[in-house]
Amino acid sequence: MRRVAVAVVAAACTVSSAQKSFDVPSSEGFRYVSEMLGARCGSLDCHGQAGRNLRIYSRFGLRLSSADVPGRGQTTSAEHEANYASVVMGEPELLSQVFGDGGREPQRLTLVRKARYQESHKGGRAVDAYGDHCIVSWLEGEIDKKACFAASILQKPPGFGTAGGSGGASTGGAGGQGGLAGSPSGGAGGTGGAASGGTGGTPASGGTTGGGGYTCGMEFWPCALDVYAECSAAKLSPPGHQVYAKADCQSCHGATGPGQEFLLSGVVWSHDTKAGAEHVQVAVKSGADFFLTCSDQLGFFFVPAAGQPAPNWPKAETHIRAVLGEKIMPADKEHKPSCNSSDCHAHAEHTLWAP
Amino acid sequence: MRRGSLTVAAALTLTSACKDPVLEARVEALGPDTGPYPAGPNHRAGAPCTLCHMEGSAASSPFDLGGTVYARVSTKEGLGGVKVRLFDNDGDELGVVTNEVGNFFLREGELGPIDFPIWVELEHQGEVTAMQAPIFRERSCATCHADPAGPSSPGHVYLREEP
Repeated sequence: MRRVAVAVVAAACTVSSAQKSFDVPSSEGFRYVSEMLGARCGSLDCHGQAGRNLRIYSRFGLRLSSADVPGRGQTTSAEHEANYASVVMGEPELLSQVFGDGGREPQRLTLVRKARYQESHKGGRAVDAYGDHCIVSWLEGEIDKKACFAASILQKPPGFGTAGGSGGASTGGAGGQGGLAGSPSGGAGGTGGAASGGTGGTPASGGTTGGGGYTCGMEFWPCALDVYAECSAAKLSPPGHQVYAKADCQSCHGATGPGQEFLLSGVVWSHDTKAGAEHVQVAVKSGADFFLTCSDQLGFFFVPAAGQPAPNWPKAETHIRAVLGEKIMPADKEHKPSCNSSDCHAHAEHTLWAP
Repeated sequence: MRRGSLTVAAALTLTSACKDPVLEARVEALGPDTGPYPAGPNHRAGAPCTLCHMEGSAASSPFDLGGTVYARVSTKEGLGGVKVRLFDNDGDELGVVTNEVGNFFLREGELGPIDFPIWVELEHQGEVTAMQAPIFRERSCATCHADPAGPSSPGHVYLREEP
């Protein structure tokens, strides 16, 4: 819970003002709601405009910092905070009442009515069942991160992105969404290992909206992998290893280097902190082989060679994901063991930002 | 009774003469067309087409959608022959090709069954690039893709990043 103070002008013809305080849902964890609002409401032609009462900042829309540009980098903490302020300040009295009632009758809020299209809204129905549940769960005091995550990934239409991969940005867009209540089945690769699991899975069931998109076992990620459970690196980088964060890992960890031999390796970064991002799943799929690893406390990730067959790089698919989303490496970009070579993700323009 | 009818007639006349001052101001802000092309498919490359090409605005031919595609991020060299592929969530797809200055447009009704949100992909001689997020309702690319790039605009539409 958070208490916000709002200056209220008492009457139209008075110069005095009074402050009122309201108990409103917490800003803690609001970034999950904010990511969803950014994806579904925050485009530049909708609420990603400075003139909007409900002004939404996001990576794909309006940016808060003059140094940031739509479509590049991640939504920042400051942007999530600004979105929180925008949502909270819309109807603070009503929000406080709804929150005080445990989220009961959330349609008292214009935000909810507009999103559900229960009230005139140029954008029509802006949220699906997941998005609605995301907002309501925040109003209830416990954010459903899974619902927010599912709603923050817009399902791409059939045929889109099949003409040869997307260029432009260093990473492609996110995948679609699956059912919330899907029953995971099918094998999974252990951390750092290669496994041919994931082929026997059944599509997630229980999802009530969306359809298509990411369904475990049928798509890239095996069913048993839970993105919501934070992954852990099998082996942590030694202290001080961050001095090598911009170096080509394979120069030491290749077949002839002095370090442990890796099949693939690199570094993933947090756009917020500009430091290495921990708990990011990195996976390469090559035919029936699935190579999975997780970034460590410094953002380093690797898959040990250890006698495993190397991926068929020209045919390989590479994805990374964390709780806020997924990134898919475009098919037309070179996939290779050294993610961090100087002309790839070690290059300042191609920094591998975590979702 | 007679007075009432006259009042209604006067109100209707006033309504039909009414203009949108906000729209007029935005069209005015575009400034004069400085060429080099006369009014037609090649003119005003990079301008928000549907500001004028909409019902009730300056141009006589309303567009469903329009924009300009440039070759690179760093220059304003319009690129002809780019296939602009539009997709919607119902599986409908439509392609339109840019003209010699990079302009493309769909006249009123030509968008057909394609409905918002619209996902856009550009294809030119084997090179492909795609928007990371869909268009939710804007009909002019340049309204969002204005130059220079900044916090409220990714800059003009381009096919490739390298100079």
